[in-house]
Amino acid sequence: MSWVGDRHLRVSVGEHAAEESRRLVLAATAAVHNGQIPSVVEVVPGYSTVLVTFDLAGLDARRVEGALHSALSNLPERVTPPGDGRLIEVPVCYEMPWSPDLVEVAGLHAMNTTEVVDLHCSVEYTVRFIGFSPGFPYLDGLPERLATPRLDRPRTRVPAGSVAIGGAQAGIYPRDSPGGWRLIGRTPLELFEPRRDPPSLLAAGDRVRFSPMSKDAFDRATAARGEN
Amino acid sequence: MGFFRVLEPGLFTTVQDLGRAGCGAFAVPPGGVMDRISARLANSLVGNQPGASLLEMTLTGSSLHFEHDATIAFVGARAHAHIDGVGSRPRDLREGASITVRAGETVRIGALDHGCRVYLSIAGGLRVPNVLSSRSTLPGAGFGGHEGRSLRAGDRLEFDPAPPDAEASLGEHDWSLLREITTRRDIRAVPGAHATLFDDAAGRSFWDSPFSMSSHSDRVGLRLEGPRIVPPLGGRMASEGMMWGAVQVPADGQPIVLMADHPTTGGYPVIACVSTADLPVLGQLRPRDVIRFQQVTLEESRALYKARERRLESGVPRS
Repeated sequence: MSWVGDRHLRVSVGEHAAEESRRLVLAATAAVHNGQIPSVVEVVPGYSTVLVTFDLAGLDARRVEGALHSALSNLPERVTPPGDGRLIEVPVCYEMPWSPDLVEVAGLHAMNTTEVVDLHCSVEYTVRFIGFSPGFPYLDGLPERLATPRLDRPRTRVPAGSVAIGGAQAGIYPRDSPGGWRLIGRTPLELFEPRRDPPSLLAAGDRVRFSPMSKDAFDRATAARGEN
Repeated sequence: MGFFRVLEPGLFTTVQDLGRAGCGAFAVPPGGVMDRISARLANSLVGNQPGASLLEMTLTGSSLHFEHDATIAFVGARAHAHIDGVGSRPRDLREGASITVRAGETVRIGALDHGCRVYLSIAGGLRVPNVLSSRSTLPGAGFGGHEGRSLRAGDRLEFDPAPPDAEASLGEHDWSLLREITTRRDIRAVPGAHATLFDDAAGRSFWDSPFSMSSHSDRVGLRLEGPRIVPPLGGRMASEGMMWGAVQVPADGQPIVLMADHPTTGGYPVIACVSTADLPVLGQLRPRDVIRFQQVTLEESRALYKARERRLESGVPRS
């Protein structure tokens, strides 16, 4: 645990295998939220860290250090942090025009597109944290056989909801943005809606499973939302 | 209620306030005004709460046609500004003082100098929706402020007209504070999360060298040009929480200082974190301005903030 800015304190859970890091980060995040630490403004988990940001006005550094030590020293051995165990099903249309890289990904792995879709949908992914841009989930669990290098030249526009593979990572783009990941499908789910409570569909600790949906179903779902 | 129409938006003008808190876990950054000192002074001049929404203008200001009476003020970088009246000669506008605008008049804020951003406040504040508890614009994500974007010619914005306060203007204390915000070039910072991973030569190079502000800088981050600082681990690490003021060093060795709309997580090593007190100074840097970093302790950094807040509170705008 160390100050990394005059109002930012970094908690590191240490070097562990991915699943252990994940569990410890979730437990530490919960401990900070429940620990009644004064002046806390933000609690942001990472792969093996939790960043705690404070309001500098009235900050008593010694007091918050003490409160954090207390909260973190009582991390239970076996913990089910809030959010763990919540399974979110993400329907995905794997048909064109929403899957422009699917054929190439299949070819690169000597599979057909059906096998790629089946494999993509066959596992449970875990959300390590939401980061980088609003609602963007960092997902663990992509089957090794689907790991595919990023495009040499990123696209200038990847549509919101695009389901993608970037190296060994699985991801979903919350909004239209440039992107270099391989697009294999698109979900009608809104990963981020600022007027919703909570605004992000996913949170650290959630589990995700993808399931195929037809193009008709996709079109109906997005028409109902008033966009395409 | 009152309206103004944007005739010319200026280079990059957005509705901002003091930003958001508690949304980092959704990857929504704090956002809000890049120079909190100037914005708070602008709001106090028109009798607004410090957190009232106002316009942040960048490098060149806006021309706004007022359809209703308003009391406004502008504070920050030096702005050449005047009002075009109805059937009368243009009159120069003074920065740092409340100004009465009559229905039908056009406020023209031109090129800025001695700083990068100027804040235009309107008594009563801007009537834009509250999104995630703030009226700040997050342009990268397309929400907040006025339609989630910078202003364009033709935009029509609503304000809540408040009864005109007594005339107010900045006192000497405020001017001296403002001068410091727009002229300081030694940026105080504490060692960052990964400072100990940088080798001695890289550390010395960072703390001892001048860096120039690149024009590829914006509300997300300031890109600095200077000697190449060699990062550890090829400049890539596992992602972790980031903050406004973090000085990241990617593989090319050119530091990036994260600002208000920063990505909430990142994988570049962080060599330093700018003192909270000096964040408004960063918000006033122009392309080609040259800065140096000055290492301070945590205690010194917090003391700087306390001293700055005391200065802000002691200078109350007087008529």
